[in-house]
Amino acid sequence: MMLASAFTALAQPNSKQYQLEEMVVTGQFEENSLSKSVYKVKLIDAKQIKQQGAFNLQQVLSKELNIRIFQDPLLGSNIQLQGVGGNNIKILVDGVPIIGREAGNIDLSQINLNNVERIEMVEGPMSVNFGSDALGGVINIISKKNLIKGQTHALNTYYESIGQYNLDLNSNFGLKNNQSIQVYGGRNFFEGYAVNPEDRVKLWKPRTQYNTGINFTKKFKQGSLKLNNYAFYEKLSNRGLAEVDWTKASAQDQYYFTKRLSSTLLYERSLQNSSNLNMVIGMNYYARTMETYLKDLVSLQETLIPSQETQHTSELNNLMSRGTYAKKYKKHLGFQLGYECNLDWAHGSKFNGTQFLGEYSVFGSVEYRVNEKLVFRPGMRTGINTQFGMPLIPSLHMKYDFSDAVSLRANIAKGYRAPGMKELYLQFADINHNIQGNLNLKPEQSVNAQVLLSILKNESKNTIKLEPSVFVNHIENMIGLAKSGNANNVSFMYINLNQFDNMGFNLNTDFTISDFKLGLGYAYIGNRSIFNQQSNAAYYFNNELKLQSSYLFKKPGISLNLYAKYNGKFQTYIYQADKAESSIGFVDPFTILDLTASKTFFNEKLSLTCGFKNLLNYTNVNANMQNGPHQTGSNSAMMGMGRSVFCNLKYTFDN
Amino acid sequence: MGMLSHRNSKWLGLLFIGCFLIFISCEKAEKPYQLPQKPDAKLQVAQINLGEKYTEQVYVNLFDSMPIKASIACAAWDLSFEAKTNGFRIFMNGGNDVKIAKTHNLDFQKINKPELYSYGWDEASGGDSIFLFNWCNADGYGADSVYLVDRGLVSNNEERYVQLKLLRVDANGYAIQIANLDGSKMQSLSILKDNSKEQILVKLNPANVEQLNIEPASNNWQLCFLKYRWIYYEFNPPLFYHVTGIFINNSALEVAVDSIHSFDDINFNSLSNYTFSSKRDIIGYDWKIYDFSNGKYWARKYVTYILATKESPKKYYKLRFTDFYSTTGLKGSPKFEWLPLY
Repeated sequence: MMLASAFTALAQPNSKQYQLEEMVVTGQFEENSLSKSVYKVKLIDAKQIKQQGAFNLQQVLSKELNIRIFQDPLLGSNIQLQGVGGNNIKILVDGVPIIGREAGNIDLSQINLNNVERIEMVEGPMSVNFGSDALGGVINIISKKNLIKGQTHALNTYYESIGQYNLDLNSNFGLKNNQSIQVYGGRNFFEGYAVNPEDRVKLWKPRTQYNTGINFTKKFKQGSLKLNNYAFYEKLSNRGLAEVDWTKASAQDQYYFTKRLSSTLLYERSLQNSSNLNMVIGMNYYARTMETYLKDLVSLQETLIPSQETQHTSELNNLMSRGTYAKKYKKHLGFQLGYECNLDWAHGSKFNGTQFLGEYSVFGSVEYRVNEKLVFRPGMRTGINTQFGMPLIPSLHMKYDFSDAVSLRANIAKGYRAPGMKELYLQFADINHNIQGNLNLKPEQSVNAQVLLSILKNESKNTIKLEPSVFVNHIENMIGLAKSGNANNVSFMYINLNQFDNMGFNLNTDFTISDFKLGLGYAYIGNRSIFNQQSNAAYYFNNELKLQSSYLFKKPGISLNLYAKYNGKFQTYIYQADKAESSIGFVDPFTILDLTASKTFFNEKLSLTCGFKNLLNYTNVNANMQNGPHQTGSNSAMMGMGRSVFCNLKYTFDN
Repeated sequence: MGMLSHRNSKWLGLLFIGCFLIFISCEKAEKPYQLPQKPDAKLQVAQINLGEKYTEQVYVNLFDSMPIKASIACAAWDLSFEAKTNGFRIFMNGGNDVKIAKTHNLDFQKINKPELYSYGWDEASGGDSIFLFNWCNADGYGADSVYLVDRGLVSNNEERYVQLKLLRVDANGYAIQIANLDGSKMQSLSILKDNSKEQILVKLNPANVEQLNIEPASNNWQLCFLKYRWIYYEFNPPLFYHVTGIFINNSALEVAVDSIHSFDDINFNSLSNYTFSSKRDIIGYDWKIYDFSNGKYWARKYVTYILATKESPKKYYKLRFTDFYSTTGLKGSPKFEWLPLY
């Protein structure tokens, strides 16, 4: 019945749009509505994040279509977007890249969402706009804006029965002269998870995270200046297996300490003649230290093991600046010119001192509206990399509006990724491992094409949206680890391993019928890797299904939300570095199913979200994804911590 | 802040109590363990420190209250010569990557490209599976070739390659000559046998050729902890790998391996089930296993080694490894326990 009425609404012409337009900034000349954007931008707003009971990026993205999250017990979670992952997904906060990749990935569980307004995602290469690392896509996290007037304070608590305890505070002070300061801080504590809670060794490692920040904003008549400062600290405990006999009881425990610091200065100004200026200067610091202790389990005393092999520190730094100038000429023509400078440097025993890597580029794009229906946006980027020549990176995006309700987006874009610090300079050798960077690596290059049809219809409180899309992706010189050296001195080195191809079909649908919302999605993505010029490699296809629905019970004011995602059997090629050959790795199917309810009290001062996570009680699933020089074959992949109950309580008070 | 109603205040109070509880949450403190009782009064234990990088070679006498009888740096020797009067075998130090090639020259000549020669190696099991097994004729004369010795992990490239001429072996010793890669600085060396020992170690450093009388008398050791070479033939070319393990003194011991029955369950009555071996690497290196996930070695406590002495009457012992880490947590310190079977 409800679906029928939604289709009835779709059939009616001249229906008015009652919903507020959702605004995005990623890849735009200026803040732009989602429907008008030439790029297809996926949006997850703060309300959706809250309704999910999510507090970090991993939890939010794990429910999205086209995204696979994998978990490493020590390195954390990592992402594949449209089948492309690792170093090729650029994650930004307000346009500033997050640094600190371990094994090519940023641990998504270290990206806290307490101070986030929305998450914007663009699938496919965004190298023209965001340079290296954006070959597979971009995830841009937009921070909450400071309130210019009055004061607002929020106290947020979260408890989950798997042993998660979070607390954060946020205060916003409006000052004189259109100035404001926001101060926030929080602590997330996770006590670790093992199938048997008494086990000393936890499959999901205990971690304590602290994050704090102070943001200053000054608004001008035509723009604003923001200074954001952020600090993050995490302690992850990896308790070792107890060794007990009649002579001793001890264990080797490792602690991983991660520090992240960032300072960002953002300046935006609207100029006369429909032009605007945006500039950001960012500085990032990342350090990860591993310490290993011998713990006497009788006296419970810990002693640092005096070995260089069991203690490591690596430090990464990034200094960046990005600026754009955009101008519109009447309705038909607009352009954007920009520059981006990135200077990275790494320090530590793994890098043999201090190493530098710079990338300096200019980019531009033109938006040409042929008529009311058709708009083209060609773009180009070029520059210099201190290690590599940077080719011209072109892109062409177009959008055709058949009507107010139906539009077609298509794009073809080249992607580029210069090898990163670790791929170039890592010198990590101990008695068991020998992993070497490689200064002779070539940059990865890609071509991506996508076509997306959007059908959107609003009628009163009913909405229907259908979005089928297809894409193809071709990446050359994919970088990976391979055996090198001679038989007497086995080592592993980053090399340009293979060609990677993937293609996929997506169908996203959203229905809103009065107070009921239903989102259904299906993805069918195939990938293949070609190693050693063997061009007959077959594609392996994976299925994904997504269901997100919510219903607002008006009288009690309770929103009931259901999130489900089916991840079909995942198969992919893995390069067995020790044998110089490829094999097929897999992860068996599993489904994430969460049920949550949220309600506000006292004029929305107090908000409560609670519910169940992982209702189907998944923990590990069968898998075979071994790779690299220091991983053995594993028969399972960590996909969940079993069924849990959570409760999120937030109290906001203002003046 | 605006006025709070009574109900509001209660909510806020509860919220702050909740916050406090959340803030003080932390990892649960562990309860201290209690050590189990020593399972058998006659159980003996020893731990041998080979160095974190396994640099030491250590000879052990299990039946002595001071089990460590001698030690030498693994890299201190290149070749070992059988010490018994009837011995003639010459072994390489695989742990130091020593390899030998036949030059097919009858005399020392200048060698320009040593890397182009075809080098041979010894199997870990030793015995007859060694490169220099048939180097001499029945009269003890070796005349077929000058050998080129790659001394392996030698930092100084000039000292890495040595030409070796094996002249003869008899009941008293060996006569050898060495020369530099260019054929110069020929030296002669007599290696004296010692019938009470198993091996005579020799260092072939061209600047300082040495006979090292380190090894204890054959009746004074049973196990030698050392670094040696294991070859994975499933790779092409074969993969040479350095392993840290144990060679037995096969004049004193033979060994059976049981990974089915637990250490505690093995007793004197079990002995008839075992097949004993005198291969020098019968204990070998795989009494420990590397756990890649945790970056740590584990002793395979479920593997028991049954030791049979070669004296008469035979004595039997069961032995297992329990650790590979020192009391400070450094690797390279095998710990093992053993018990007589009677």
